[in-house]
Amino acid sequence: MANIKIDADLSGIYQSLGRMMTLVDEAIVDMIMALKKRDLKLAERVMDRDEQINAMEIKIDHDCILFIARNQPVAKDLRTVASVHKILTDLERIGDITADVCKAIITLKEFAYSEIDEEIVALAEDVRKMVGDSVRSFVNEDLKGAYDVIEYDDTIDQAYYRLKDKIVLALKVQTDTMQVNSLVSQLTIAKYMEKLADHAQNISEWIIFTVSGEYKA
Amino acid sequence: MDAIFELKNINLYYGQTQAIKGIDMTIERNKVTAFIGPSGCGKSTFIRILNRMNDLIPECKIDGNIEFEGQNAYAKDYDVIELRTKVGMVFQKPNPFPMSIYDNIAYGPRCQGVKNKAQLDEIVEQSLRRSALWDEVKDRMKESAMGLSGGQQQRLCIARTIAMEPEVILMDEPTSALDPIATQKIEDLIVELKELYTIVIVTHNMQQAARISDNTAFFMLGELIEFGATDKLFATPQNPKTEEYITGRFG
Repeated sequence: MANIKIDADLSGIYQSLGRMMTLVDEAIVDMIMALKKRDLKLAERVMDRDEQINAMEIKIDHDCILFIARNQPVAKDLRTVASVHKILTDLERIGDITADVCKAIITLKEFAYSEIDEEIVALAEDVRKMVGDSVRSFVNEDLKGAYDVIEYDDTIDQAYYRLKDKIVLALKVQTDTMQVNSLVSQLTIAKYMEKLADHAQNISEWIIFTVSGEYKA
Repeated sequence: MDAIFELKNINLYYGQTQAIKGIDMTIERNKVTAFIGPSGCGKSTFIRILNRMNDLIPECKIDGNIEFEGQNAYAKDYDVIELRTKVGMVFQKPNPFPMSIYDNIAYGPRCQGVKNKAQLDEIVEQSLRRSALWDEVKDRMKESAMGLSGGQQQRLCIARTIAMEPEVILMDEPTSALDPIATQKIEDLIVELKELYTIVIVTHNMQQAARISDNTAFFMLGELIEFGATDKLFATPQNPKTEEYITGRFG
């Protein structure tokens, strides 16, 4: 039997989470495009979109608190709403990171799209998929999907370290200050990608908690 | 774990109808154990097994092994009066005797032969203090207990039970007839009393079970579906039937 009130409230929260996810995904896509094309207008739009993501976080946060006050949820209902509350923070942080990356892109505008940029973009594409998969797995309560995302984080970490080594090598031989600045920005952006993947991993861990009640260490 | 009750393979029948089906349960000393479940699930029947209240129902038959403090509580030579002294009970509707507040508390000890006024005074005061009622009634001990509010009457009934120096206090929906403030007072009291007594409570209020109990038993159709630590049962129930019931998806 359904609990009509609780199910309707949760469905509303899921819909809002879906909208927030769409905003976050658009931010990541635009961030990648801004990086590829050195498109500063697009980068600014990503920074503006961060405000919408923050507003969405506050709205869903409020809905979660209202849900708890109204329904005094227990068991899976409680785990679900507690997880949404945690996931919100991860999504909001992802929004912040896309905005921060776009700020870093400004320093790259004088420099042509390089091999390192290409690797950063490949990393970003992978991370985008991870974030999308993590939220989809949450909505579908897909444990396997969650574990896949968690496992993939190691691949991202390795890719980041390879990229980092490459940038450090390039820095060693670089004497031009502008070039050094650009390489440092690229290193920062690569690190941000690794952080994005960590947030996707966090989201996936909350899926495991929601479904099984167990904390992934 | 310090067990006060050990129940093994308990079956109970009202005539042809089996109301309790093969239940095993260990009740821990100085803990609050809550029984939850839909109406007719057997939780009130089961709590009455603990002080042999079902003995009073002629067509009721029970089998299984019921040990209270290591002794077979259903043995032929077991003193039922002694059992009900050690295992006191408080009911859904406050049921003070139609006499003064003082006499309500002194009634039990007097029946057991306590005659000394000073000793009775001490029992009455201590019982009323332990049930958090003393300050409210100390100046009106000779007034009728019927003049107390519902919440006060219920705490008086708890004091009346305490006066018998029980080991266990059984409570069958003790707050279902009370307003939220009186309910909160009883809940606070239960948490305090477990220092001294073992408490078993039947409640329809699941939040109440979650708030005040250490262990929770979920009954359905005479079966014990799940029994364990309250925190675990409400956060991550193991049985889907428990999940359905506590999240309101039962039916």
